[in-house]
Amino acid sequence: MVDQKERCELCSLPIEGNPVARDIGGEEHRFCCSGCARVYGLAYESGMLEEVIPKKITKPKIQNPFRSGETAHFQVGGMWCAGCAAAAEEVMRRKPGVMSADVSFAAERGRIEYDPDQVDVDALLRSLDGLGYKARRLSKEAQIVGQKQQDWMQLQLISAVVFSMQVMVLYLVQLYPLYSRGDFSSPVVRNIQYVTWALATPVLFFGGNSILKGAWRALRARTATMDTLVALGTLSAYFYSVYISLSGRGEAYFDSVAMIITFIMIGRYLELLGGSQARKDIRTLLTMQPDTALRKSEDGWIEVAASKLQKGDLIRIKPGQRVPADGEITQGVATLDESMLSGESAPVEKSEGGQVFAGTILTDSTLTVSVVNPPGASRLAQITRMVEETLSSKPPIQRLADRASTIFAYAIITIALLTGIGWHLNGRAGSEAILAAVAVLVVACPCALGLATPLAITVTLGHTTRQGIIVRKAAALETAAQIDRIVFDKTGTLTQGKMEVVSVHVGEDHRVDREELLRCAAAVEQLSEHPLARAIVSANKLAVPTAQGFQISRGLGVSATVLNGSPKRVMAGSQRMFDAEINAALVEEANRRAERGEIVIWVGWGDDVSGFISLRDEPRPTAKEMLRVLRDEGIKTSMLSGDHPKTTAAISEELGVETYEGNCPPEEKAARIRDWQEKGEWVAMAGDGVNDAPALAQADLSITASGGTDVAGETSDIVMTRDDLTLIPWFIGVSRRTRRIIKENLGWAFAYNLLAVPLAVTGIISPVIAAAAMATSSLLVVSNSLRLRR
Amino acid sequence: MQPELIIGSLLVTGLLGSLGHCSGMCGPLVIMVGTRLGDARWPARLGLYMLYHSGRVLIYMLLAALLGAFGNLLGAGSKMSPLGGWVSLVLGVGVIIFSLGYLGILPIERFMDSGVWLSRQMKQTLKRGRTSGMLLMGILNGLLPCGLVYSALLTAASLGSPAKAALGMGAFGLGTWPVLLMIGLGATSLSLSLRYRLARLAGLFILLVGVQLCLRGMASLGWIHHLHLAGWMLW
Repeated sequence: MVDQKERCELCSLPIEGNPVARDIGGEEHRFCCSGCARVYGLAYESGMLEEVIPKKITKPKIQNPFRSGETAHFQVGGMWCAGCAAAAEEVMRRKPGVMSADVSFAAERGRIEYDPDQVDVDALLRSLDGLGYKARRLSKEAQIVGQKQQDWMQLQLISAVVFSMQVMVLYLVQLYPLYSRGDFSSPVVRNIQYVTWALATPVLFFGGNSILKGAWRALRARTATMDTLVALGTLSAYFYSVYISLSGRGEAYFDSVAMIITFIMIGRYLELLGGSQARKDIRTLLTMQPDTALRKSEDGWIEVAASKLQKGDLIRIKPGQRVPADGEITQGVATLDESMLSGESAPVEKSEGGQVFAGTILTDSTLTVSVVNPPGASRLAQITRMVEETLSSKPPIQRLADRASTIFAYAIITIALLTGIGWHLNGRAGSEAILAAVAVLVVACPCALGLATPLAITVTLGHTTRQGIIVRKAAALETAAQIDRIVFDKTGTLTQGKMEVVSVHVGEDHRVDREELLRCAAAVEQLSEHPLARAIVSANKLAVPTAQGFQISRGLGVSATVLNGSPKRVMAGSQRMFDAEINAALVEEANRRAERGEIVIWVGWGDDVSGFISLRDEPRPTAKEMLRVLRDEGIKTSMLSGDHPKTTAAISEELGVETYEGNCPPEEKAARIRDWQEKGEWVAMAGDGVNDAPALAQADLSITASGGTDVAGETSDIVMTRDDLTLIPWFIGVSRRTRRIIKENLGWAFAYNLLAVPLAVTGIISPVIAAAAMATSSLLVVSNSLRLRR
Repeated sequence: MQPELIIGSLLVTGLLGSLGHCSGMCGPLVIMVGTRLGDARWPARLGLYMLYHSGRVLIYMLLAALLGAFGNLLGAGSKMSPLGGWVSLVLGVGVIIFSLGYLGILPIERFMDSGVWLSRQMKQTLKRGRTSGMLLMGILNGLLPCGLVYSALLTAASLGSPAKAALGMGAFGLGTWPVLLMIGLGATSLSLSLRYRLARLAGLFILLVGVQLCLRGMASLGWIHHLHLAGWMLW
């Protein structure tokens, strides 16, 4: 219904009746009312149209359903708190053939491991319908269901608030004064009670619908959750108040009912917002792949559905468009905004041969690209799938929290019953006993367990994803908080992984200047495939003359005849290649550098040695800073490298690594890590997926960096999509913060309940105060978790 | 209708209306002034948003007080007198017309343009510093023509005295404050269909109130009987 009407260009609401048409900036625009028209005009005149007009809503693009053999992932809707997730898990686990079930309330995702011979996953998921959940394999339908659910919850919240306000106004203005005067049964009081009854009913049964349903589900799953407590409390209060209204024997507590429901729904809504933002961040990744692409065919460039693209297709991307698939540039030079993928805010320039990734934005110039990965397998899709997988896993602390939640709920119900019975036995009136029991039920707040912990984790994961760190297991968050030592691989982790020219030295007489030396060396090296050669060639900035007759002298170096003016035979390599004597100062300098681990290439022609070029694998620019931060944080650092001890020592000293060892093959690295672990340390390893596999597996936390298109191949706990090493200490800091906040919440919950429940048992707290207290505690805990967003 | 219920209804109308409609229109205005917020930290941001909304509520209450005084002069206060009945009836009809216009059923929107003066004032305001700018923009925003607001104003005026009218309109303004939270949290979290439904609901709601005002007027004039329910006078 909403889609059929024309929309107001400012506020996007459908236009009722006749649109208000205005001529702004030479074009006709249509609005729902003159107010919108005026605001639009103002925005236009002030040049702020872009900031003000809401962006178009695009439908999310969904990947293929995630199947992985014996593990199935699915989306779950209709859950209102972690207790529901626990109930769902229970039900699934009880079915034969299901080995494990994990449902994450905050992420609305679940995962089960099952025996395919015994379990039909779709039937199992559908069986959850009876409980009121909608569990389906990840698919487009599920996404839309998720949105409808959020709308529904908002409607519930708003109705709860609206009617509660009416109830409270009546109580505040009329009933409280009357009650305090001892008036419980005059016609005025009776009338107002009837009205508040009428107003409170929708609050409880519509606004609180999800709470009641949740309690019902928990009952059917033979477990107890926070919903159980609240439902018991509010239903008791409600029916008691009905009895009061009809009999006129005391105070009616419709205000408590309304307030309890409202406060809890507000808390849930905040939690939904916080979680949904994080989930949105993660899901937004996927909406960034365009639906269509311009593909080359015999008839020229035609627009096709992006899902039909295959490896080898040539596509053309225009400026301002998003890249539809991972590929290699075949033609064109352009700048791309890759921030959504890597968190890197500065635009990147790429040219022929360079890689582009699906989802990034092309900011200038047209590019022709050859597709490497179809959109379903793009780097973006891989990352998203990995993150979704993480969201459906549970860190141990959350499992603990879930169990504690259930025990807590049972305990409170027992205490409430005992309170009621106790009071009655002590001679108090039945109504007072009920009220005390209700107060107990209502004041208990397991929110730290049920709401705040999963929220904290989801929010943190959203945050880290936005920064470019992909966490594959939620448990990694906990481990990272406890890390004592980080071990680094050298090549490719702390260093760039490729050789670079560090310096060029010539003899003091300067017969040949430095640029010329480099140029001649480059002329020779351009014919070699060696990484050292490539480094020299790229370091040279002048035009390279052609060379012929390339020769390799094994173990010594290379040579070629350079055709530059008079042809000369240029040699580049070790000192032993040259018979001529070399300037002592140069040799000294060269030795100094070699001691530092640099590689020295002498260059000369004719009978002369003109100078040398030194190269090394440069450390990453962010390495030093990262190590400094780690030191400040008190985390020990080590470097284990398969490379030469001298280079290892030199780099370690330069960067500030505490302990180091060279000549270390992969098994040795793993052994070292084991040694440290046996001493009681928690060890993290940052390295290269391929040749550090044993060490990464041994470590408590494994970190790898991934720059290419095969992100899914990374099996470590943490994958970094940017090569900013300072992200590592940042991540540890974030994990510690998350852990601290979760602990704070748990601590608060403990203290609060310890204090509040006895107060309720002894009758010092009335149900209304109990509701307010519980709600405040709940909001406190949720806001504390949301603090992690910054 | 008892004043409490009218005030409560205004509160509700403000809530529903703002969540539905106003966030779409006033949101952009806030954003435009808000570009000056830059990287103000949270407490400061909140304070500035509150200034903006205070400005709005202030002007509403002022207008309501004016109308209320006028209504008082005409005797709207004593609901039982014939004159009071006429005032109630007229106000009720006004509310019905404006709410029907808001709902798009009556084509009166075209007559409700604010004129160039307001736009110019708004443009000037954008140039001001953030504190005074927010407050002023709020006040100017309150002057923007809006069927819902006019209906609410007339309803508040029917309460009989300037003070009560201001209070009623204050309730309406209070109801619009959740919008503040929404803009602070990022107003995109309410989906389009929900906003649409809420906006319509607000219009419907105030329409009913208008109908009730009419009925009360007619009852006071003796054309129809008063109706009481459970001790409350409905009309």
